[in-house]
Amino acid sequence: MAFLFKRNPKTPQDLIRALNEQIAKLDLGGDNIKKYQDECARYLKQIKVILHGDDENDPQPDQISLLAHEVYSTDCLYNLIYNLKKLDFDSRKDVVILFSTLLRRQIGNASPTVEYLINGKPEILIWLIKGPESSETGLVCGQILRDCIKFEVINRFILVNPLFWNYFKYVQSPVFEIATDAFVSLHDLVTTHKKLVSEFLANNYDNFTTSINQLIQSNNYVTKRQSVRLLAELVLQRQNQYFLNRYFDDTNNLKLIMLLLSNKSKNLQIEGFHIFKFFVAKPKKSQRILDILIKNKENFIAFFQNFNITSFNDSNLIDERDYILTEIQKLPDIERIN
Amino acid sequence: MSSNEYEIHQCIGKGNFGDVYKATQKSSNSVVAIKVINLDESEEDISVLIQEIHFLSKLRSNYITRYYETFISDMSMWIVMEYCGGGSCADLLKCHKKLNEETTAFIIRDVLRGLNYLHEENNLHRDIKSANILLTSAGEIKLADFGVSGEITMTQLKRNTFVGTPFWMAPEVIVRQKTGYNEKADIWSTGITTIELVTGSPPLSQYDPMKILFEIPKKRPPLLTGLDFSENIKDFVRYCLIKDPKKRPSSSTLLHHKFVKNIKRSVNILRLIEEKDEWFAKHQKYAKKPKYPLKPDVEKNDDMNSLIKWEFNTRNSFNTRIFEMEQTLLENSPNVIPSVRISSADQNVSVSPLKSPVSQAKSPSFSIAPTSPLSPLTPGPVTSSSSEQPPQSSPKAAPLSQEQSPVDAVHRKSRPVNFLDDVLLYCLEGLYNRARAPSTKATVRKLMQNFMEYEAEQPGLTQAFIEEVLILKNVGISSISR
Repeated sequence: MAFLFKRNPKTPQDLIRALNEQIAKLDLGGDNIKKYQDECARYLKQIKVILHGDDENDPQPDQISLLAHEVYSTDCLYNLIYNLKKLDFDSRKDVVILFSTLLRRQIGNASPTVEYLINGKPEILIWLIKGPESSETGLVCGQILRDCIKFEVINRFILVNPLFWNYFKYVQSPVFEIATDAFVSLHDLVTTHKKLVSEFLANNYDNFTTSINQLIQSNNYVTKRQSVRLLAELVLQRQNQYFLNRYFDDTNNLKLIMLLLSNKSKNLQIEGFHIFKFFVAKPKKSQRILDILIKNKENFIAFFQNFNITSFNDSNLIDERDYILTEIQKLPDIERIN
Repeated sequence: MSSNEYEIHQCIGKGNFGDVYKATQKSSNSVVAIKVINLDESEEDISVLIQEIHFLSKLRSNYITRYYETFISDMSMWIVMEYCGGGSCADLLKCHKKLNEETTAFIIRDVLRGLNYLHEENNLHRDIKSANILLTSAGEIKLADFGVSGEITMTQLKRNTFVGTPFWMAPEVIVRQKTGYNEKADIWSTGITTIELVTGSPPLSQYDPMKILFEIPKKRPPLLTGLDFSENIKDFVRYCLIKDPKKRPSSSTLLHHKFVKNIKRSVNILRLIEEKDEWFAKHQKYAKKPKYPLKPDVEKNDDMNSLIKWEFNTRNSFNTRIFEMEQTLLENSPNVIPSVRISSADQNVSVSPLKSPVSQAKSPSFSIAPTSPLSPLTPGPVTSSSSEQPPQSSPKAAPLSQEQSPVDAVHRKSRPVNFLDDVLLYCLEGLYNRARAPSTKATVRKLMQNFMEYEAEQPGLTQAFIEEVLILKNVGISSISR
């Protein structure tokens, strides 16, 4: 591959500077886009070699360190993200590699890239959050964003930013890959750092519940199924206690979950059941929840008699169903006086 | 993006979870393959399928079947992919039995190019064999059946759930299973596929695949021998089948091998495809029938199609149908009075607007006095379903539409009160309304009948009973403890 290295920058600093130059030319546009794209692609490949080595060479820590410093001081990551759309299809994936490698880099307990993203150039994170707005580069941004939120400070930065709520819009994008990729990000944002999330859910109960309930009512089968699954995951988290208590006292939530039980989709019934069971099993149920349960006692009994779960081969599920059915049968047969 | 943008032609393949159709995109008039997966039947976790789609959408190579788009229609996922009209290399073998070295080199070169692309992206194919090497109608070579699970790009029904197929599997794949191998495993499979293409079958294929599975790691690597084959191809196969994956060359190195480097232009793959098509036309007459026939796409709101009529109102009502009617009536008619119950009737309350204690009861669907004027809450069709009605207490119940509530009457004691009809049966009717299960209703009904019988046997019994209850009420129920 020696031919690739003719008239190549010598040091990592030169390489980053040369890359920045080409990106600047790309940014301006013009007739030579393809040429600049190829140049960027070539430099990114060389950066990849410095970071990960190749068949002949192993990566050198001092070279990586020089490269990282140059990347921070020239805002190279910002240039790359800002012009991501102008890079060719496969180069964008090399940007992901550059990002994830730098993110993982630690000096003692410090993560210089994380520090840089939060205090140096938070604009990069803002661009990444808005990633799903472009169907071309949304997946690439999503991948980088999820790498970033492995760090709690960045996750927190995003959750407190009002732009976070756009994710409930992005997950309904008509472009399937964008919608589903945004869902993966949304999922990671509210499940990765348990303590942070419990605090977030407690402070944003109303917004969050309204938003996720909207997704549960979507007519898109995948959106519906994934959002119920996410909710089920959240209610399983003990740390989310405050959120749970409020969630399971709200009759509107119960109503939406009951509609899932009566959905024609077998899988949505099951997903709904995994939330419904908590409404029934909760020791101190609010009176209004109890009223709805009592009112529909026969409906539930009829439902569970036809609740076909044998094909799922899940003995836990069968036990849970039996338990919930018993609890429902124990409900009073006489309604409360209003 | 919706299924309306495509015109579906015949079913061209069946998978475990979905069928593959040939289709035309109406706007561009281009032919595509669409895999339709019924998500509610698929046992595969949706997120695995989504992961697969994300993976595919990040690949763009001329040597890999191209992914275009996905959309959801009702409970199905439609995945639009490149259509390979020339069939697979396995199809070519069915007709031609074996391929010559030039053709094989032509195919294997493009396989290596496809693999080179995948491997540079740190991806593996995991199942290289002639059946997964497809041909377009223009004679281009494309890899198929790859991805995280191979589910989506899968072109044929897999008979074993294994990743990979034993005859083509590298020794390290068998020994270390899923984790401990890398892209070099694809190189081994390419070597086996080379043998397959020039001889018609992979080595050891005369044995039961499950039985030889554990022989592969123990045996010496297969060799291509005999005067029929050139030194180039023998050498190429020998490199591919080096047992130690570290010593086995990469796809980029192998692309420099003489076997694939000097390819003659005389290779006429189109002719081979044509002959194959003719052969198949003679030997395979029936078209494939989809496992899950497509249903017309109807846009609908799921939640409106609930299979169960749930009751969500927190006010009392008999059933949902009536609840709905009641709601519209409540919204539209100002003269409907919300139900007032005994508990809320204090000494001074005037319940006079209520025509009768019965019609003010929560359920508009039953009326103890059929002769009483219909309340605005009782539309005709509902009252007509009279099979659910409790027994009529007595003919005397009809004049219940007097201007007074029984409670009112009890307290004033100025007019004679019928304790059975006006008080006790009235209360029991309330109870009847509150009862959810038919069995509970039946019990309440029995109680009503029994009280009527007891009163007939012991006139005044009801009055005495009510007095006892009223005394208790004055004393305060909480103060009773025995």
